[in-house]
Amino acid sequence: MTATDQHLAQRVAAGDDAALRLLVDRYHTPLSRYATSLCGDAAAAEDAVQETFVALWQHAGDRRENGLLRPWLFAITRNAARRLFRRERPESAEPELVDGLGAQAGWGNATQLSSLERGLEDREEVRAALARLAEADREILALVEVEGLTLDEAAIALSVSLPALKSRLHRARLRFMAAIGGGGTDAR
Amino acid sequence: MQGERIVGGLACSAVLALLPGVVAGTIGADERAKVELHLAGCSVCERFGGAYGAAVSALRASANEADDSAAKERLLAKLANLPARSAARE
Repeated sequence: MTATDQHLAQRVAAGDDAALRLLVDRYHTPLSRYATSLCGDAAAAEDAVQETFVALWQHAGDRRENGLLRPWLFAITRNAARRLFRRERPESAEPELVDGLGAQAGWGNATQLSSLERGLEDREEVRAALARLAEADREILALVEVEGLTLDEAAIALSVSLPALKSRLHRARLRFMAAIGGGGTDAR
Repeated sequence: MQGERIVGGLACSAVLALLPGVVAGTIGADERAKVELHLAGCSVCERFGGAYGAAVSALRASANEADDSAAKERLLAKLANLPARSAARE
């Protein structure tokens, strides 16, 4: 039977390094992907993930007993990546109307959809489209679409309310599709 | 929006505006039913949904290409050198 995250975290809190190793096996790859998507810099991403597991070893016992481990790990990685890979972050743009974003993304527009579908044939272009998005969009898509966090978990990892997360995710999805289809957006 | 259709009593743009509420479960049953009717009958929206699914699949496939085994070994070496829990707490 596979040990739950919670059980392993309790064992880590008790100083069990075999449990820590199991959590490394479980989460090293997802956290590395996430950190890389935030930093775009392999060295900084590796440092962020190392900090995450050191923090787990040192603070596993301080976590709230029922707190979910997975979003906690992603939150620690996020904070470390942002600290280790500082750069100028533009002020958030005025929230765009969903209608406008939808038009850029090709929603309801067969012609633009064809352009979008051509973009999808090139996996590298899809990855590049994600990289062109603002960090706020990249991180939410990385958590939900790539790593498969639930919306509740992603809200915890990003320290936002669930309604705010849903709104951000909807817009990020549209901007991602617009970026693939060439309809915008260089939001960095 | 250019080229949008009206299906199930809703235009594509109206469906787009209502989708967050559908996902969140905050819109009424009538509106939800209209959105579902539109999505079931609108080939353009269906194509958009399919394209989004393909984009996510492509992202996941790309993500799985990375080899992080060397970084993982370096992490395990670092963790092996951390002080034991009891020592760390003292």
